[in-house]
Amino acid sequence: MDKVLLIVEDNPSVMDLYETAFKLNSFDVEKAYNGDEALQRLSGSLHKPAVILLDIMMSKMNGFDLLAKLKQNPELQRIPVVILSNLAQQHDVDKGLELGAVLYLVKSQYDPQEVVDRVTSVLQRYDGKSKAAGV
Amino acid sequence: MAHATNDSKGTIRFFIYLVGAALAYAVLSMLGWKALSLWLAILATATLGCIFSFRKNRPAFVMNRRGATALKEERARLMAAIDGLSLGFIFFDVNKKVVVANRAIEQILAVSGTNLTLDSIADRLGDTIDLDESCNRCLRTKSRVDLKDVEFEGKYLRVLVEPILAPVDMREALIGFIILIEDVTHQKILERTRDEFFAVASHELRTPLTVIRGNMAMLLKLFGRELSKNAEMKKMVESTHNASVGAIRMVNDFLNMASLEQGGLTFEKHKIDLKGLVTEILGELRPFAETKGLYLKFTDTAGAVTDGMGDRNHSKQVLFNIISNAINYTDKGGVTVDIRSHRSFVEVVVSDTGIGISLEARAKLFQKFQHSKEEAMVRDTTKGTGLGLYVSRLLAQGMGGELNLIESEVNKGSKFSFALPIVI
Repeated sequence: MDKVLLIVEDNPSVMDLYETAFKLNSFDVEKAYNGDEALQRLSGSLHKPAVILLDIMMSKMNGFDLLAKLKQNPELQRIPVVILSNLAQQHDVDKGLELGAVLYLVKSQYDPQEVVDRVTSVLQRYDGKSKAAGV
Repeated sequence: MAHATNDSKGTIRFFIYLVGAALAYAVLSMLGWKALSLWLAILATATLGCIFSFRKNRPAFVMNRRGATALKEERARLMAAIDGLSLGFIFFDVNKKVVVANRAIEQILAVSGTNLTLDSIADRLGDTIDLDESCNRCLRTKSRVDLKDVEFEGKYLRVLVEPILAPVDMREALIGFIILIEDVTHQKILERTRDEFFAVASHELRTPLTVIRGNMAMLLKLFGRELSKNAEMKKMVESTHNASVGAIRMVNDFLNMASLEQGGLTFEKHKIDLKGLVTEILGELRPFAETKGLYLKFTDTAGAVTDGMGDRNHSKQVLFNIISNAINYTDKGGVTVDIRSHRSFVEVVVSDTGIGISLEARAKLFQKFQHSKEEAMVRDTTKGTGLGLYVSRLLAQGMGGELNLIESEVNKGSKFSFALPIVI
């Protein structure tokens, strides 16, 4: 299973927290501190991440806008996106899922290990689907 | 109508004078003043007629002068009232000619009242709205046109075009329309401030708490062995983790309460598999119950019907709250969750063998900032904000359901019921 993860998060403390948690669970972690930076990194990279962990409230380009752009891009639209935000209103959750996120997690409700476990399950599901489709 | 009434009154009065003249003639004749009687009767009648006529039908010059003064006063009062409005007000006739406008319109749109026309107002408001079309629609449909959040030079305006119908010849006729313009910038700023508060409170308060919670959880998980060598250090890390989880719960409770009270929370209506939902929650809370040495049982007596109608997230919040409360307030025995179906609703009953709730405490149980046992000044805030049951009941009611305390006995336990309408 390809375990390259891109974390898009503007808060350095939160970034450090999840970077540590995922690295300790054998993930290769790439980082982007806002939507703009994430888009540039993804567009210029040959090796795409297996999954994107995406915050919503960020400067320059917020998570929803980035997600919409990812889903419009044929090269990037297949990468599963897990939203990890502290926006917990139902309309935020609905918007994220409507835009194409596979999972919406409210940061404050989970310990980092639970977030790693949820992302791992998403990856396993997508890995299985890719193999079945021969991708 | 008014003319017909005056005519008939005049006719009656004429006959009264005639009868009066005849009587006067008869009396004077009887008194022997035959020569003078006819002239005196005619003179008396004419005098009386003049007096009555003047009193009842004042001469036109008197009426016009007094009426005009009254009319002027009335108009001044009306204009003062219109000028006193904080709303911009312009009255147009059916040909879209300005009849009257107040000062507020000049202030809001920064236009001169002397050159005010529909075109000049439309020009000032710019292309964001089609004012002429809105007026046409108002005249055509004889109904109000409401244009909200019109952006104008850094302000937000609400523009209302309202038809004016008045009785003319026994029927209601369109005599014109008014345009009301309200500066709603302040309201918009307040609304935006409220929304921003929720966003900031959600994001900025939870984020640092998430970092504290997350780092403490990782310390406990990854460095558990090292921490076990120093009991005090381990206790410090554990209590920091617990406090951060508690603080997150408090923030959530406050946000939920504010959102519910302002009617800002949406309620989805879907089929909810309550059996599945209870199983999921019990899975999440089992470690908590086990650390306290309590049993956590699930008995399903509903038969096939375990589906309720409501919002899954809100239902989870309600159930999580009452089950975690049951564990919180129980030190011996445990908690049993049961699903029962009835004709029109399905209920989840949560029973515990905990401290129970006294009669006095029951009265305040679903109020804000209340705990099951403590008074406000001595309550144990480590068990939450005291908003849990208040918020849970509002959520249950928002879904057309109910949350109630069925029974409770001090030191024996309590039984809560969460009911949702059944799926038809």
